[in-house]
Amino acid sequence: MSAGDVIVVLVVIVALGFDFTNGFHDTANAMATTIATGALRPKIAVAVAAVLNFVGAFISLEVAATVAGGIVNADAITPTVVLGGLIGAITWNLGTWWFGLPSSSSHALIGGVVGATLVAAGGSAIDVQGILSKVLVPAVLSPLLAGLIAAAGVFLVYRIIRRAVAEQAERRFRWAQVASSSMVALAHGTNDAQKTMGVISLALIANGSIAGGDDFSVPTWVVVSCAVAIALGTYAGGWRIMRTLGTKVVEVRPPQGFGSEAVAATVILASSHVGYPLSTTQVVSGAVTGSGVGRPGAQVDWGMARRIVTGWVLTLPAAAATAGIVYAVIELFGNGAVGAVVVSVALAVGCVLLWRANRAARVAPEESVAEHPISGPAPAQTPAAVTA
Amino acid sequence: MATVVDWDLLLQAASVSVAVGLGVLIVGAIAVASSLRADDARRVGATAGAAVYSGVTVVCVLALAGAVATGIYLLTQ
Repeated sequence: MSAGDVIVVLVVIVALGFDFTNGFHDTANAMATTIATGALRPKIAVAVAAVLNFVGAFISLEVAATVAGGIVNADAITPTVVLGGLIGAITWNLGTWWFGLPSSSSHALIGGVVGATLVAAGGSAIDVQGILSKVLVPAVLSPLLAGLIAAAGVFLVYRIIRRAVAEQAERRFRWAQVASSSMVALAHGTNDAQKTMGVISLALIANGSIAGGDDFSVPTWVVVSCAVAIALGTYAGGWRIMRTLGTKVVEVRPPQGFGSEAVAATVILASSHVGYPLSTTQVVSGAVTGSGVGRPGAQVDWGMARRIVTGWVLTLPAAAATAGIVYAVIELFGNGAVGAVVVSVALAVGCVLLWRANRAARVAPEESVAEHPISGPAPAQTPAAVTA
Repeated sequence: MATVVDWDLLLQAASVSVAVGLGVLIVGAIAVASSLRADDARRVGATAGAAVYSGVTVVCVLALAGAVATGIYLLTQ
């Protein structure tokens, strides 16, 4: 096995690790409001999201073929660059998860690839215009748009049901909320699992393991392994972020949960359909905040909202800086696979240490449920085995 | 900036999002409100009223199901 093959194997393993973190980091996008309102029990909600993410990964392969396209010069991509980018993205994902911040896994991945490419090939390999149009402008506009629509929509919803008994109405919104959350989970599986498929494919093409260009197709084992990784990550449940999005930005009631998830699904699908890429996390976070503005009497924690936005602003540069450093460290060890093995082992050790620290300060699934969930299926009170 | 961002595409995505997003929420709210009124009408023996409200509920639920089906269709494209 050549050094290139070793690096590609490491890329595949680390990419699936990223896919796993992507799953548990973004479970909250679909299910935070559903769990917070008690529409579904926490473990059932993450199981539904996991299945839909798994199914979503098989629905389309269009994104996988275009990942990183228009962001960096494709000729500058090597397996080592991809590895550096992935480690930068994983590091940022784990950091924001630890602090319970719903940041964009996609932006972390893009930032990672940009940072590693910058160190490997210089600034000329970066498509600044592509980053501006595909990442920065959508990052600013999409949460605002989702927030405004959710605010107006939830306000209208409460106007329409104002004569109904609140508890009865909330019970009925439960099912609508489950449906809208499921759509977000499906869309997430379709979009985000493909990004990892694309990254693995890039490394395989760069290594000459599969054909690129017109003959390119994503290998079946890549599709299946990415679907499994994102589904397992989703089922692990990122309870820290779930707690933030479901209970700390605003207390979510079922009409709000339905409103925010339905608006998020609509914005994501409409934008994807016209070819405008968005971050699921940012759209959902904007919609949840907007739904708080739209519900009469609701109080949005703007301090928490500011923390989340700060995380968004830092995602691209932080992931890029980490990836750049990782790439530079790999290069210190020369052209062989030693550097790649060293940083991969360091990442694994870091993950184990973080896992142990999380066990000591775990967030239980029940902490993601709001103070006053709707009556009906009460959240499970069993000690949580899942501690992510 | 004008050459970097395709504002026509952006406006298209935004307008569809506003129309469909608000539409889904309004239809969902009408479905819930009408189903509750159908229950109330049934409780007081107003059979005709209950039938009308139930009909509205069914139409709204079908519309929402259509929106979900369209969403899944768009995902596959």
